[in-house]
Amino acid sequence: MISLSPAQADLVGGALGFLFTVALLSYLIGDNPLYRIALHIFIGVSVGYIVLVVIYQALVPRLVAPLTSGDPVSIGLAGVPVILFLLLLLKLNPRTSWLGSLAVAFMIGVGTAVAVGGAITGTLLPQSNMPLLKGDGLAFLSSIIIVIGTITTLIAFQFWIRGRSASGDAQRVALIRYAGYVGQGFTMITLGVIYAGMILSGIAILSERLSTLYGWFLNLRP
Amino acid sequence: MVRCGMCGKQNPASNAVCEFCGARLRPMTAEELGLTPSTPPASSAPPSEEPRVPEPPLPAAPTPSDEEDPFAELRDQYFDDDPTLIGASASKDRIGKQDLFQDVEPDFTFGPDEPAETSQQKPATPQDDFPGSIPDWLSEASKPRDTGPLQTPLGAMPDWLQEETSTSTPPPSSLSADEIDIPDWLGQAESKSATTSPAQSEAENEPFSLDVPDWLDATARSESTRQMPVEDQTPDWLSGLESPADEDATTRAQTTQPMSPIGSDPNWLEDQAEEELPREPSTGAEPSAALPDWLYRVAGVTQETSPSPDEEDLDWLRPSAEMPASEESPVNESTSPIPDWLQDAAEIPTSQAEAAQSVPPVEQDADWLRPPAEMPVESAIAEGVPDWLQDAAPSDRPAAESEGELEAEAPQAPLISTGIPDWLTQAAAPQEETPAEAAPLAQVPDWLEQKSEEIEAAETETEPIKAHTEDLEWLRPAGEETVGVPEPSSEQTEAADWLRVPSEEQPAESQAPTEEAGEAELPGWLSGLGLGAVTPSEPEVPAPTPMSEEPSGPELEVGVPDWLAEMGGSKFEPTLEHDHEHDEAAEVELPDWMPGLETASPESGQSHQEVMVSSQEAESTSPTAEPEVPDWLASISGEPSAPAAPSAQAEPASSATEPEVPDWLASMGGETSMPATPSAETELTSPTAELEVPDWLASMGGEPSVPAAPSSAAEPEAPDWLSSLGSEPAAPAVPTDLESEPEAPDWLAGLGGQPSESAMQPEIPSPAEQPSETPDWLAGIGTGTPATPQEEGLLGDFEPSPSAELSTDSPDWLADLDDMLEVPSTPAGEDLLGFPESLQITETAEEEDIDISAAELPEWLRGVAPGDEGASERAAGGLSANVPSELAGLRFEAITGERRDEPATETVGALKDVTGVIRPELLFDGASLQVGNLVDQLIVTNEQQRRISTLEALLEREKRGVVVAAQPSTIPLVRLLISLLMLLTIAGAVFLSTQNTDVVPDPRTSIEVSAAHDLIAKLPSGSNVVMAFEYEPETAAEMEPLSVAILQQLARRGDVHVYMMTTRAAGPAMAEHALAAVTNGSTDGWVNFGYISGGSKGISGLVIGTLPGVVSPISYDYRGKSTEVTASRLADLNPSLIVIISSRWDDLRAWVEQVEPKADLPMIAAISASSAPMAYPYMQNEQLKAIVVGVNDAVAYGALENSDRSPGLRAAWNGQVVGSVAAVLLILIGSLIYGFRAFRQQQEQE
Repeated sequence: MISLSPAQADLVGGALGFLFTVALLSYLIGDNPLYRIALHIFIGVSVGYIVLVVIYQALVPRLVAPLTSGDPVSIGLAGVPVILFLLLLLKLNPRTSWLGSLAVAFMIGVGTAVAVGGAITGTLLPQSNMPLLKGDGLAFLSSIIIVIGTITTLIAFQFWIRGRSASGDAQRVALIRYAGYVGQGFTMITLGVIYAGMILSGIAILSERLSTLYGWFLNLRP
Repeated sequence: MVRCGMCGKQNPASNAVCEFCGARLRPMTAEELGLTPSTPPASSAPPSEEPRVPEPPLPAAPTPSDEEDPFAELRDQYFDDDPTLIGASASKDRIGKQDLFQDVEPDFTFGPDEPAETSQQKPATPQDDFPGSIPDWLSEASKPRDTGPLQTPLGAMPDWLQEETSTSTPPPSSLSADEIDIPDWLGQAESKSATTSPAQSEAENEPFSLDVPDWLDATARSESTRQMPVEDQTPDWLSGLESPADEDATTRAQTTQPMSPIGSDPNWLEDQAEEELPREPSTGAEPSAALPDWLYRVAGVTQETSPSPDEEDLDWLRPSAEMPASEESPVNESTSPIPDWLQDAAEIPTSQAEAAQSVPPVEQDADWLRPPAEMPVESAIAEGVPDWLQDAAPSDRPAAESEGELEAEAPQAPLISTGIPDWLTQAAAPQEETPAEAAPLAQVPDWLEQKSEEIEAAETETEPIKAHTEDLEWLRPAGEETVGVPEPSSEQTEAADWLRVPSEEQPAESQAPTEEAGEAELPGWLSGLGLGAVTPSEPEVPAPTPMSEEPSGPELEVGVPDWLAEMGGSKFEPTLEHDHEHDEAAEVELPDWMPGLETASPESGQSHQEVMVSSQEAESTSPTAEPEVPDWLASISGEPSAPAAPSAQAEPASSATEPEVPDWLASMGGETSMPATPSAETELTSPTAELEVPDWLASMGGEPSVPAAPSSAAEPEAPDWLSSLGSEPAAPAVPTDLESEPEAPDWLAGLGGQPSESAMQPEIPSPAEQPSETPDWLAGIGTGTPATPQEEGLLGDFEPSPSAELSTDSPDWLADLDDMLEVPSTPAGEDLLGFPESLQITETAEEEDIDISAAELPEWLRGVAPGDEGASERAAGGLSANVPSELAGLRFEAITGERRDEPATETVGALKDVTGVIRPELLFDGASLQVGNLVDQLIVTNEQQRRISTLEALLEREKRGVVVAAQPSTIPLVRLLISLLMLLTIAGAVFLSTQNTDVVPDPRTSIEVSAAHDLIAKLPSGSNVVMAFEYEPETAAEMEPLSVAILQQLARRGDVHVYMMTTRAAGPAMAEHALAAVTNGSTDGWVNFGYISGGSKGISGLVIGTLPGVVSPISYDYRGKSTEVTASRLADLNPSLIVIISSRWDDLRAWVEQVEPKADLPMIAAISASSAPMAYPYMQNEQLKAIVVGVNDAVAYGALENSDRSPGLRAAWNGQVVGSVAAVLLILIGSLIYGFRAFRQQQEQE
């Protein structure tokens, strides 16, 4: 096993980083093998790290250890996920896939319950209970804007058809149609802000990367 | 020497039985039969020249009974199964529906009023000379008679009859009924007569002279023309009827001819008549061959009361006391060899006056043949000829005064020499229409009269149909006034149709010069068939299938004997007024071919579909529909089938004037066309129907007699096949006619060796094609010219030789006819029948486009209706022009081998006249007669195999898919430029930042940053802070400054425990990295619990807690080492603050949703700039106390801490600011540029 000093580790690391950075930035000229190599390495390393983390931080302490603890209760309780795991494995065989449906059903059921429950209790209800108009000054204006934006955005995604225009196209009620236009505006602004944030995040990341490379280069000079 | 009629070997004349086969050579005499020899009549034939050799006794005649048929033996001997034989002599079985007298009770009675002289005039029947099988009545009938309407022409009388007539043996007068087989009808008559006229019983004891029917009379035939009946040739008894007009009973009677053994000479009847009948001419009824006494007894006629010999002989055929025997009947009528009913049909005089004059009149003694009270009774009874036959002879024909005339007639009848029955030749013989000859029709029996009356009454109520009168024109003597045909009842119409006489116009028209010699002589009745209203049909439509029942055919006007006319009504009127709808219910069933003959030709331009529709309509709607010509006849002539009903209705008057005569009969009269014979099964369609005369009849008739001109609208023309035969010269004319004629069905075409369209691809000739074209089969008959080449296409692999193929399928009767017929040469411009070209069936100039749109066309007809070009076009234009070549091979044209430009029409079969029929595909290679490849026991032809391979290739190409050529990759210049600008900008900023130069100012500290800072700052000492590091390395550059800043502040406090955890697999590493960056403060006691699996479920489980015995996720740190914290859930950690550092919004939502409702703990969120919009609602709702966003808040947070800004943070900040500015500028510039360009493009498009 090769052991590197911190300086060496930084050097190798830096170099690899530089290479991978350049390789990933080479996507600007199009898909190329350097980019795909860097991409595959990054994905591979990430997946490998994740597997290790899951094994050491999930399976071993919470499955292997109880099973090997000798405690019947622990073993029994730890056996349930083992059984479910085995049922999931049976999904691979078409003949026994129906047995894996039990584990899948358990997982889907639990996840759905947690997600739906949390969405209701953590987002829908609190958001619904929020006073529409509160504060004063700008806060009040902000609340008004928020209310208007929320309502119009929801209306924008409603297609209530009352009749047809002269050209035969389906046409909503005028109020709904114009409110939908406003809601589309808010939606566009929101998407724009999100995109801007993504750009900022990317620029920040790029900046940090460049800065690191610059520092690495600076460290290279003797 | 006498030649045996059975074996053909010569025997001594004295023999009565053949030495070789044992057949009778001479008819049996009365003595042989055990009858009392009657007093030989004075006019009996002179005694035989040869001494009679005693013959063995005759076998005891079987007791006649109702079940026995005395004529069975004779029928078996002579008549075989020849279907062409008609008449009472023929087998009843064969007559079948043709038995016009099926439901009629003949009144064959030998009335007591029969003058004795007539009986005495009957020649003695040399009964002793006939030890054989010939009944006496036949032997008596063979005796020559002086007068008689029905006398067989010279040479036509069988030998045994001839011998009988030549002998002077008195006819047996007494013959017990037990000894002779008397047919049922005779027995009935005998009983009837016995009860009604006791005086008739005396006739039993009187000599029974069998009057030789004229048609059996051998005197009409010359000795040279006597021929043994050749196999398949017309029997003698028919031959004897060829020229009834030429026969004179007196002449024949005078002609002494040696009686030849039975069977040795077909003209035995003639010989007998010559021998026995007196030679002096007689004007009245003349003694015919002595009839057997038993016949007289049956008829209840005694010799004393019997009428003239001719009448006496046929008294049994005559109703008692109705028609007194007339001794002054014209000789010609009495001696006519042709039955009156036949002779009367020949009303149209022919050019051959001699032949006309020589034709003896029809025997008028037969009451049933005599018109009611209109026609004088024919006194003379053809010797040996039943009254009904004698009376059937045309009365207008002058009787043959001498045998020489008769003999002279014979050579003029070339068909006679060729073996054609005399009656047919006589029918073809030109008949003159003379007033003298316009004798009343032969005596019509009462039953016929009654029928005629009924029919007449019925007809008067319906619209006259001209063609109906044509039904019986052929049966009416020429010159005779047309008898109106009353509208008969449904039952009677059918019976009388064929018996109707033509209109008066027809005789007049028939007098048109059609006189040309060379035509075979035909009896008057036959000559009248075609001599009627022969008018060229108007627009002719190709005839339908040959044997279909559709109405078609021309109309024919032929003379019809009165007695026949009266059968259909009192008088035959020019306009038919009977309802053809009732024809079907007529009592008498007419043969199929007869009804179809009378259909008038449809309008010109009518397609077969129209004709069919019109026929359908005519049947259903038009009561005055014209009779239908059989399809086979119509198709032969290529004439249109049933025309439209409107057209039929539009010309009722004209059609009414055209009596309908069967084609075959019409042709014999030498007419160019004959009116179709109406029948119960057909309807008159149009007056322009054309009737086709069979060629064999036309050839026999030969002479284009004067066609009876019906109306102007209706000009029936001789059928093509008849015209072709009659045209002259025969050989060149036939093909000429055939070529101009419409396409005959394939079966007909093949008969003549001229294959028309292939049998596999029948096509209906277009309306333009015409009836004037001689069918191929006819052309081939005379000339053998090759047919038109077969169309290819479907028959690519199979190319049969239609001529060879079809020619072998010619019916026997036609083949035999070829041998028999000698097509006489005809003048130029005329056909065999002497019909001028103008009367021949030609394409009519007028083509009335019948609008069938209004007609209720069946759907299958609408699609193929003429003029429906759109359908074919639509069908053809369905495929686009871009069809690949492989598909081209699967097109309809490629498969069927024919273009769809002109939809082909069928010409034969059930789909005749239907267009767009998919051609059948041959499975066999006709050339090699080899079966194609077998695929799964299925026969696959080469063409099919080719198409299969084509389809497989198409499917294979689909499987391969389409290879799209790779387009050359291009460098995105705009993307590179933008990217370069951004890199340069950011790189510059970063570089400057590394030089400790701030390019941009520090950000303003936002409220949210301050709140967060204050919240952490206000944490009580010893508080636990839970920090969730929910970001990955890819976003670490943005999130780590935030996490470091917060950790930095917490670390500076020194009294706060931080528990770090994450639901991301790389989170623990990030936490460690961030923790490592905290340089100021203490981080002791801070635990990194590491990875919590399950995502939101894990957080929920962390919040809820685990069951006892289940390992808590916070029991171990990120390295797997147990911690000192004994907590199983988040609440057990007593956090004061939860800091969620998340780069994605989902992770923040999951923590907020799972923790905030349950733990009710303050939460701070440090999120990226991209997730900030989704996190602000939580802050609005105060679920989050503060939100710190991205690098700028990290810088601001650091500024609040007065911590040193790391170079990375600075570079990030500077680069972010500069880069964002550059991005904004680039976005703006790009928006302007691309927006303007899109606007310009939109304007250009508009």
